[in-house]
Amino acid sequence: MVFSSLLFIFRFLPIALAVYYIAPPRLKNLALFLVSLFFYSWGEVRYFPVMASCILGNYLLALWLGRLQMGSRLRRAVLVLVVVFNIGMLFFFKYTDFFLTNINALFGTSIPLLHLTLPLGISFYTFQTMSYTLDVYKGTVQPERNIIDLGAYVVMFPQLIAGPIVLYKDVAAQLKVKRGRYKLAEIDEGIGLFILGLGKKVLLANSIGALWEDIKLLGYGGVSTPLAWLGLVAYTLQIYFDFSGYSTMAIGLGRMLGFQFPENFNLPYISRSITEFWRRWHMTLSGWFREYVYIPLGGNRRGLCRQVFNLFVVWTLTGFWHGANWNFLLWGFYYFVLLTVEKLFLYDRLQKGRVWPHLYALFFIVLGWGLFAVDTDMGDIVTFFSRLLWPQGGVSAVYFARNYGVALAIGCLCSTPLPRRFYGWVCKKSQLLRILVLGVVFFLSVAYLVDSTYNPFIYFRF
Amino acid sequence: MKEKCRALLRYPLLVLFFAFLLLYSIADSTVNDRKESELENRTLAQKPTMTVRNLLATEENQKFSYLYEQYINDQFLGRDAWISLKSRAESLLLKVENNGVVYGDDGTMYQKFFTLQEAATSGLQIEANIGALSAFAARHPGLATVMIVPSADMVETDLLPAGAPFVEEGPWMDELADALGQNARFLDLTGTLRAHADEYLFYRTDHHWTTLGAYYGYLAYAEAAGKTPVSLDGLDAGGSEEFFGTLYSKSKLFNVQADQLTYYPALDAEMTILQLVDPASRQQIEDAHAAGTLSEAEYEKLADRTVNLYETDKLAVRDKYAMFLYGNNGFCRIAGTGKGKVMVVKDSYANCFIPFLLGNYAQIDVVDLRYLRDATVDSLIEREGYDDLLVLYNFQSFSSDTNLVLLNSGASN
Repeated sequence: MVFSSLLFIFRFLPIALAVYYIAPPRLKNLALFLVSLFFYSWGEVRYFPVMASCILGNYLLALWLGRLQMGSRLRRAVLVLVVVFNIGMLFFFKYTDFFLTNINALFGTSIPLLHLTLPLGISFYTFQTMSYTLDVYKGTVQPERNIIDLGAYVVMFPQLIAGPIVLYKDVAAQLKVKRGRYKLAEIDEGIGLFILGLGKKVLLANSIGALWEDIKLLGYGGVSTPLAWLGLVAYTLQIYFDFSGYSTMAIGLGRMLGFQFPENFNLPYISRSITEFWRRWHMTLSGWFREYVYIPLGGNRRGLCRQVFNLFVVWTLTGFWHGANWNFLLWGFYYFVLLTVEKLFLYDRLQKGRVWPHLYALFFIVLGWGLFAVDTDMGDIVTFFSRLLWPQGGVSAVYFARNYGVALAIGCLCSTPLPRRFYGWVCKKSQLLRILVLGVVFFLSVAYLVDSTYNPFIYFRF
Repeated sequence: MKEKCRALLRYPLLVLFFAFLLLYSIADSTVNDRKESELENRTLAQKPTMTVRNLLATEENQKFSYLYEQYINDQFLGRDAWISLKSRAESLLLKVENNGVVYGDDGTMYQKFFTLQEAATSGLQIEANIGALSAFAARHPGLATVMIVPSADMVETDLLPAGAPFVEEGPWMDELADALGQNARFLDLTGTLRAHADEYLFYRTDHHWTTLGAYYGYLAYAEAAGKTPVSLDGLDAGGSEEFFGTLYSKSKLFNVQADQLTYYPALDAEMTILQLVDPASRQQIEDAHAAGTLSEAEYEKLADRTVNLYETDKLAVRDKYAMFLYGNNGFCRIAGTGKGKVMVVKDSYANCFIPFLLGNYAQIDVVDLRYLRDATVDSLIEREGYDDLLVLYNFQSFSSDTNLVLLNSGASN
């Protein structure tokens, strides 16, 4: 079940909120835990045991860690167990077939593939549970004794499928607040955010994203250079509104339940460098890798060579996290190269420029999405990039520019700080105006959901 | 309590949103479900029952969760009004297509036919179909006339949105002509129809040609086959002024213009829809019916029935084009007033075309390969000894149909 569906908005949400709000203060976490488990099991009931063992495993491991002395050898052994347990689960479901395929190709073997469907949100919740147990190991977080509270954190439905990746320490205190966890003002604000996020996803991402589907249908080899660029720009906007819309909905829902989730996107396309882009894009993921991989590896404290190596590790993992495919690895490597170049000399110069750093950053961001979007095989990437970088004819862009022109223009406008300022102004100006704006967005979104032929969710498979 | 209410009223968005969500959800789940949508011309998903099987299904479209979500979407309260709201918003965005339908000028709609269909194995389906047709023609040299009707977008070129990359059909027509060679007569109607491009040749809201379009096709056929064409002068026309076709059912454009559907009641005859059941099976059916093990309704389905060419009841429903020839049947035999026998192998484009043939042949056998059972085209040709054989398809179904290979079933080459 995705948030941008009639089923969620008109069935699950009213019932879940009613159960949560009506539950007595002591049972709020249990209520949240149960409705979230239902949400998780809805699409694939057979993966319920995966979630159960993930919660139970980390619960027990953290308790065990809590009993062991700091710095003891056994404590370190348990740490290894924690990592193997969580990564192992993710690896088994997400990467086994990728490795089997490549082993088969390399050695000419024919080991049968598993063809597993990915458990909902596994890439997100394994990272969350890991953050909890790793923090317990570091001693910055006390092990949770109440398994319901821990379970409510792990499977909490707003952030389950696609983040933001909420760390346990972000919400631990709030989970213990039984009375007065949420205020009316917060719920009201949350509703506003949810509707705005819904609009981003349904009105912007879906209607712009259909253009990239057209490109795929026409074939990467058949499009003219202008159309290839137009399609890639459309994908650039689609993936931003898709994912950030989803995060905004999650943050809004979290607020309605009385939780303050971290921001996940901060207008990434106004960046003036790739370094800045990654401070603004999927912030909770980059934050996670920084805290649990980059810094433990030594970060920038062990000399330049070691720093570059650390960056390489982080970006290989980041790429691979996005999908079990070579193009995602390539995409991660691409950012490793760009970030290293900036670290070495370019970043300082970028700070002095005014316009060109924007153009530079946008160019490489858009190009990067090309590696991300063409996820079939390497041959297709070569075909598509030759279309992009070597001017040539093919299916003309005229029709698509006309059909998607207005939507694309609105999308570009919404990537700037203007809508945020406008909404801020509206909120200050009058309640009525705010209700009017949100009402229009909400009703239009519902209309698009009713007659939707194209409502994918790109990050759903991560 | 009063205090609480007053506090709530300070957050009107919260009150309105929750009130709407709650009331609409309750209303949506209590209002009776519809069987089908007149607007969309399709049956709607019904409430699924939960079973162990659909709970544990692995195929996405067999899962209970999937079926339930389809059900919620299809039965959403006020579905038609929401669809119309979306259509209005799309026109504000200046979009020129929706749900696979492209909008042209003057209220015309076109199938978004930008790519050719791949064949199940490799290559394109149209290549396989050209091969099948040329093998068939080589087996029966001089018998067949192949007539392919171009898509509306190839004829009404002035009305299309600029630069829309519709499939270029000309080169494929040429390839088909080459493949048939001397074995069959080939009629590419593109030129014929373009000569009348400003007339009403294709429905605006449906993917078929109009009766007038079909008449121009008929004139071309009659000339090629050396027949005297029937004249429309003085013929009374019937039909409907309120036809909204399949393209509208998909696009659901809010400001759609209705089409006119025309037919000529005078060009009518008896048509027998034959179930080509072989004698042994027929005997079994008769026995089962006599013994009472076959229900009356089932028996009637297996029986031949004689009707007229026009099912005028269909003029009252959404899909009015289905009035011609009782839709698509595997095999029909029509008694004409002319001489000789003709077989027409066809898709639905022929349904409004065939009445024109009445005066030219004594027997018109109509074959739809998609539904032909228990017989092969070759065996029919052998048995009936046709004077002419017409293969009539529109380009889009010719390029995607997977049944054309059945032309050669039972043949050794």
